[in-house]
Amino acid sequence: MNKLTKGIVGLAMAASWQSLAAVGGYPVVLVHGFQPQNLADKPTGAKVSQNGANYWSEYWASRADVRIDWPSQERIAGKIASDYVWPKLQQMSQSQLCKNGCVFVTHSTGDLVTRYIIDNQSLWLRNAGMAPLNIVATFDFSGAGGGSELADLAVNVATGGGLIDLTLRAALSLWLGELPNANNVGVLNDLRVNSARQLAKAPSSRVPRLRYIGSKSDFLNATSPFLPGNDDGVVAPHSSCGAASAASFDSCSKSIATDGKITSQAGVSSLMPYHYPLLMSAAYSHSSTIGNQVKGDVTAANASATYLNNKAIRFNTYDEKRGWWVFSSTYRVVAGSNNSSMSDLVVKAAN
Amino acid sequence: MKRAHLFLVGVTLAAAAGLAWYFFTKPTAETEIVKAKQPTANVPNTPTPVSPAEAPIVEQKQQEQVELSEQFSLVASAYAAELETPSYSQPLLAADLNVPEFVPQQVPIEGGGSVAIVPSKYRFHAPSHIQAELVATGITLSEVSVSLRNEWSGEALWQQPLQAQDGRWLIDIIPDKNWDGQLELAVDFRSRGDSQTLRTGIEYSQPVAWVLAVDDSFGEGADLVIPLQLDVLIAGDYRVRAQLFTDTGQPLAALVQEKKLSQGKQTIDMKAYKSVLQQHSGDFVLKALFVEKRPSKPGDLTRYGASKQVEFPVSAFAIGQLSDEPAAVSAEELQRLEFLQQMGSGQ
Repeated sequence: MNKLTKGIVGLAMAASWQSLAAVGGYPVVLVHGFQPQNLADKPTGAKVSQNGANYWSEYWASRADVRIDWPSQERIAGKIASDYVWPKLQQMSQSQLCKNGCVFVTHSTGDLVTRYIIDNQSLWLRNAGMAPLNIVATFDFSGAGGGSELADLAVNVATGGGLIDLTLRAALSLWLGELPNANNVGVLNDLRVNSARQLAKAPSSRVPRLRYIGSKSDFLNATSPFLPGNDDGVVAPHSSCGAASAASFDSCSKSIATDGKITSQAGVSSLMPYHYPLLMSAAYSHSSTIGNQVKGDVTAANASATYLNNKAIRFNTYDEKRGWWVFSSTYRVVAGSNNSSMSDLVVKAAN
Repeated sequence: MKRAHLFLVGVTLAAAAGLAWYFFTKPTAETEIVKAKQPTANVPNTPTPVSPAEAPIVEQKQQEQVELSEQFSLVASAYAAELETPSYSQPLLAADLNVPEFVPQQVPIEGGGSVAIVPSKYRFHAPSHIQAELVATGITLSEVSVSLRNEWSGEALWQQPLQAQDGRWLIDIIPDKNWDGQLELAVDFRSRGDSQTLRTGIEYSQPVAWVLAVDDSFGEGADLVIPLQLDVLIAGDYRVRAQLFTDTGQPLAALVQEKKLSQGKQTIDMKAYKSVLQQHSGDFVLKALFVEKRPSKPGDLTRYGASKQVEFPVSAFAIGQLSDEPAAVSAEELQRLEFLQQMGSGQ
């Protein structure tokens, strides 16, 4: 490579730190989720990076400045932090990518990885004599920060024995592709509900965690019997909404269902600090929240009480004359959700 | 099969005829039939009048559009409210105290029943025992044994057979002084002619620092300062959390402070901001002390301290003496708020 080429590449790289800025004028950092195939493949180096690129290829890749890629056969506080997250944090600090603020976009277990980053990046970078990142907000799609019951079950299936329910084994096979063994559960250990909820449970840094939630299964509801509440096929609402405790919830809201219907719900009542459920949809599954396909209506999770109180909502009116049950139901739909994917809605709102 | 088909066709035709009659007699704008389903009984606040079970269900779907920017505005308002108190002294609500320390994860067993390992909590520290229960529902277990291993190194630490006591599988492990970090609690058992191993993660800590006492509190600006005395066994980057209550048990504040601490006797000042003290005029109680030695570099694992006492009394203080200065908000926090407001303004 001659000097001119090197110079052009250098300029292009320097420009890339500033040019994409997809969300509200801020550079975007992507943190992907659990990749089941990694448990068997155990990728390293360039393969991890390639997997990360593929993960976000449908929508977010072209709107991001940096990806933090990590392999799922490792643990978050172990090699994921030291070998995969740390080089990227140093790189971002040196390039000053986040000096004026940046937005992290996460999916699934990326939510948990990012919580660990938010809790520790400032300390690590300062201890290394470098400037901390200024993380303005995170957009968490199908967040698994509260863990997944499927991870608990998968770890137990991996341990061995012939007594575990066959339906469960089949459901886990749908999710994981192949069942792991006791020696390759990797990040599934961190994703167990109790372990996840203890990992960096309350970062001191007050970064707003904006949550985007689906409630449609990718697996024909095969995994749903093993997840509490109105799940998305991989995580329960307690996780995706960012609930303070792991329990069964139908929605992030007590007054709006995930399909937008304004009706009383077994909704989340207490959230983790600075977690804000923003959008929900019964048309989007765990994986499709970060895709580019329009799946259906998206609703707003963060209902204001006054909004509800001002509406005359009628439920279950039974018209005896006609002999019909007639529901008059109101559905809250976010404008534009009929022609934009959930991710695209967010980006359009920001730009 | 045919009968069922005929029935469905009949119901569909009846529904169509009924709908036509309904809409022709009382036209309703923007009505959409979305599904035919009985109302579920588990939806609170939904009256369920008695009706013939076979009555068709019609849902008139009305849509209300909201702008995403409106939702960002709500988030911006909520975030602004959070910033009214400093990050080191957040209001503590009763709901915050109801978070269970361990949520049991039941494993379904082929042929019916389930088994769960239920530790009394997630995080134990020396010298306390590790206590748990193996809860079997709808299944009889035999040849039960319990083992512990280090979750990171895989090193086997302990194993023993377990006997049922009065029908309960109670686990009580006397710890070794070398156990530290994330451990895996495993249970092996036999049932229905087969064997199974279940496991769950817990944490066992050899404390790296001890909270010894609380010194006299004092006012500083808008904060009530509560100095904690610590005996630091291993120097490092520490974070201490505590919950402040009134002397009658009313929750007031969740306090947190971070400080680099050297080995030996050290002090860390917990600070309670004036507004979270709610003009309380009596004594206070400091509880739920949680000491973390944070990972100073990537790959290090968090270690934990402990407190010599479960709670410490804090003497009453004339809250009126504290200043009314607003909570300090960092430049980053202001920027976050501005970002949310910007998203809320639709710009």
